[in-house]
Amino acid sequence: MMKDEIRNITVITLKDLKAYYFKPATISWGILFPVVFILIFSLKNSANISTLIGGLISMSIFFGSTSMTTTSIMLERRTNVFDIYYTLPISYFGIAAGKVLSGFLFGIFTSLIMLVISIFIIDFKIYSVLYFILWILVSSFAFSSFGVFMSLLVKEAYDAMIYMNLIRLPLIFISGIFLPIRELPTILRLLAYISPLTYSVDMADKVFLNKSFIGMNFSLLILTLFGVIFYVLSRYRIEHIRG
Amino acid sequence: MVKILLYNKVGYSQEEGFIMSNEIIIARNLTKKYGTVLAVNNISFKIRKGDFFGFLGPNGAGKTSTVKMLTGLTSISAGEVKIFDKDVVKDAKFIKKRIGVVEDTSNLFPDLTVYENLLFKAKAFGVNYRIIREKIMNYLEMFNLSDKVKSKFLNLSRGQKRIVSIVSSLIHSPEVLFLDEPTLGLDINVRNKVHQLLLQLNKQEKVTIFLTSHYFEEVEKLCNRIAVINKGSLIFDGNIDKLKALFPGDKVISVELTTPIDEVRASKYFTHFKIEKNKLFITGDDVTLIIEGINRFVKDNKLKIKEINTEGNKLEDLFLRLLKDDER
Repeated sequence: MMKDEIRNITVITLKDLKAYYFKPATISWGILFPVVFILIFSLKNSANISTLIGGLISMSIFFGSTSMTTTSIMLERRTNVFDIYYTLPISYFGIAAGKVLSGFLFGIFTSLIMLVISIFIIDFKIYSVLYFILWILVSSFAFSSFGVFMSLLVKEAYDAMIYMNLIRLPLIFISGIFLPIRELPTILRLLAYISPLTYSVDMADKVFLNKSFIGMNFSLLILTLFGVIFYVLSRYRIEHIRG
Repeated sequence: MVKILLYNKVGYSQEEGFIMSNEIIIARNLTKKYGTVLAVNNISFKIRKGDFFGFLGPNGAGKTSTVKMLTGLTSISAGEVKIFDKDVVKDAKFIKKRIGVVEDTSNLFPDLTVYENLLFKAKAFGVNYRIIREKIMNYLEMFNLSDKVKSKFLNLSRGQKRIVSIVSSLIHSPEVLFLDEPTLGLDINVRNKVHQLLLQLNKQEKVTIFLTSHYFEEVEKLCNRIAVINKGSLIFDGNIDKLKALFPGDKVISVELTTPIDEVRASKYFTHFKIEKNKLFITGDDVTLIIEGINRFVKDNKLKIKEINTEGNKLEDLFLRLLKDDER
């Protein structure tokens, strides 16, 4: 039975990557948007861009993972194709895992694109390869789970991308990418602590700048918890929207 | 072997089947509520292995909700469903592996090709990779869709989408097939091909089939047993002969007039009737009374009769009688 479950998770993931990888919403919000951000900042503020690189890559993983999951779930719910999963011999946890895994892989893919682009235009150093790998993996997992849950949360699937951007865009400005968290007003600082992006940016700072405001291990733990919680919530949401 | 006789709310004797090992689907007190709306109200039935079970009912009667509950596509508000003697909720994965489902809408992934969609389904059901391609191509050839194998599902016609949906439900050779209006929108030739395939699966492969349809001739041709649902309640369960036996003396007289017929006017003269353009079909047990009614109707409304015939009882007429009786 476990073998069937793993096979079907993989089948869903591969199908998602094949069907939605080149969708305009995935490409524009998942890849072009972060690339444009990096280019703008490297032109505008080339002296400080190396201090922003970690945050910008975190942002690209955030946008990449969530765009992939939002696009696939939005399209499938809008056309009632999502019902197909309920006819398959797979658990609700399995369906959620298939969806999270496709966003996770797309997040990694996006981060690698950003890294390759950055190599050519920015001078930076990776202080710990282990932390680098953990940061990419855990960030991709947490953001993908977040994207799956948020896409399943909206009633009208058509509006999923709009709602997602309403959440994603403000998070860029309060999660320590451009402005250190300690310099934020109290209310925004409190909001920053409930943003998963904050912990990913903090891990990125440790990887690229060898400094961490929250603490590498604590950020790793919180971000993993975020991922697990959103994944479990997604499972229950999948059961709920079945009707 | 114990024979069970049940009586439904209108008092018809319902031979619900037999308690024996080959009962493959058992629904007990099945109920579905959407908020405060009661879509399916406490229905029970049993389907034996190899049955071709027709599930009829007017729009909104609860057919699709029943199919969705039976297949795990929606939650069950009350009652239980057992398939292969396993609970449809607790043993969902075991059951889903062995059943095929065609929903009332043709939904497969629009951005994938026909082949990719069928491959997705085949892989998800663990079909042996070596025979997948052959299986897919055989089914597509059967419906002259081989040239569409690389077409995106999105670009298929409505009928082609329906066929690919049906094929996708067969790709893993299910033991039980649930078909919710599978031939809706198909032309007569393709519909006949689907009928042939379903009969072959039922007779030769012993696949148990649960079919909902709006085509009465389809149900009459394919099904060995039918159940009728109206306003969420089961009002008949048995075979067509038994349904005919409920209205033993019924005769159908068809009258073709030279002008279209007004339904309101006709209702003043006849209780059980149906209008199709210029044709009036009247059902009743006393032919003399029907003829007298026709004479009065024609004379009072200054109409002209083109042709008059007696016809046998069709499933559609019996179905309408059953619904009218239930309304009372």
